[in-house]
Amino acid sequence: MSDAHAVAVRVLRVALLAAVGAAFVGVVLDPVLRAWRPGSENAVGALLSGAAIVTVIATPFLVLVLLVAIERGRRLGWYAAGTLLVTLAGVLLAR
Amino acid sequence: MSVIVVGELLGVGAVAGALGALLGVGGGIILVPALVFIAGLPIHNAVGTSLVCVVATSVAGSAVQFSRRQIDVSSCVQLQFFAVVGAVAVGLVATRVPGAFVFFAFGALLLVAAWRNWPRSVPRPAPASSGGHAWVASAGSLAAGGVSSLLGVGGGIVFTPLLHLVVGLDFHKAAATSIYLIGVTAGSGVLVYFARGDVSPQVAAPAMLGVLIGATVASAASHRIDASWLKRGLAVLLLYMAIRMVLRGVHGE
Repeated sequence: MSDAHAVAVRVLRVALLAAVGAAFVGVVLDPVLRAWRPGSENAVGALLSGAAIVTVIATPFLVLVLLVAIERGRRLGWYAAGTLLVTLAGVLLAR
Repeated sequence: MSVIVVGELLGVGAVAGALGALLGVGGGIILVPALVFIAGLPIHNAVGTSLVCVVATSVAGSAVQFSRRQIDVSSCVQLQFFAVVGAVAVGLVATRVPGAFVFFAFGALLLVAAWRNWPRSVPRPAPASSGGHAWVASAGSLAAGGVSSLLGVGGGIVFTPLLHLVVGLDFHKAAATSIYLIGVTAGSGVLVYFARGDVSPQVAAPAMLGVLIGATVASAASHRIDASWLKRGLAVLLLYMAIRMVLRGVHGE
């Protein structure tokens, strides 16, 4: 397996485990806490669920950067930079 | 949110994730109707939430496909750029599109997906011998990105045949590459939806968890599963959902 593929596999697996763990605790905590203390705010559950979502969304972009950095293709680098810039521009314009 | 609704979202997510991983698409074509009809989300919120789950499917499926060296990095990085341009451009204006139009467009997409998933004895068309026609691939990726942002799907329904027939990848490699492609595409779209406040984290988290579990299990077992019977059932389900989406478009949200 090439270095790029190996690194991608590691990053994706770690992100997957972290996101599943955080989402599981966040999702399970919410109804349990509401049953135990109706009307209470589940800040920890919301934080974990949010962290899981952020991890999942950020991971493909992180993998893209790592793939291009390892493969060291100049043309690929321009495409990747363009992808990130367009995404950033979209977020800024949407706010 | 009640335990029953959380359970429903987990189950729907698991089925969508498994189907997406097995068939090389993001599962959004299952998720969006489910989020509308089960969770009761408005269509634009359902689209944004589904995009989160599409990215989750991509992460889970890509981990397996990268380990099998099935992903063509060069094609991916190049086509991702065009897909993201389409996704962001449409994502910025998506909420201005009337909900009825989105329902009709989604119904049409489901009909196409149902037709494509019905197993046939007709041999698969041969891919382009030279793998050229770069402009066709770029334009197709742009369109796939736009469809992804508008309808909350990954775009794999466009990417997989594009990679196979135009870029010239072997079909399994095309499906595997598509799994990673949809991650960045949907990711860029969902970031636009998030920035606008159109994503519901309370709904996205349990659906995403279900998708992660379903996609991971299905990806690991994909080489042992004969997908033809699965495709028949999915085609029938897609046809049913297409009818419901069109009717919802006619009667309003």
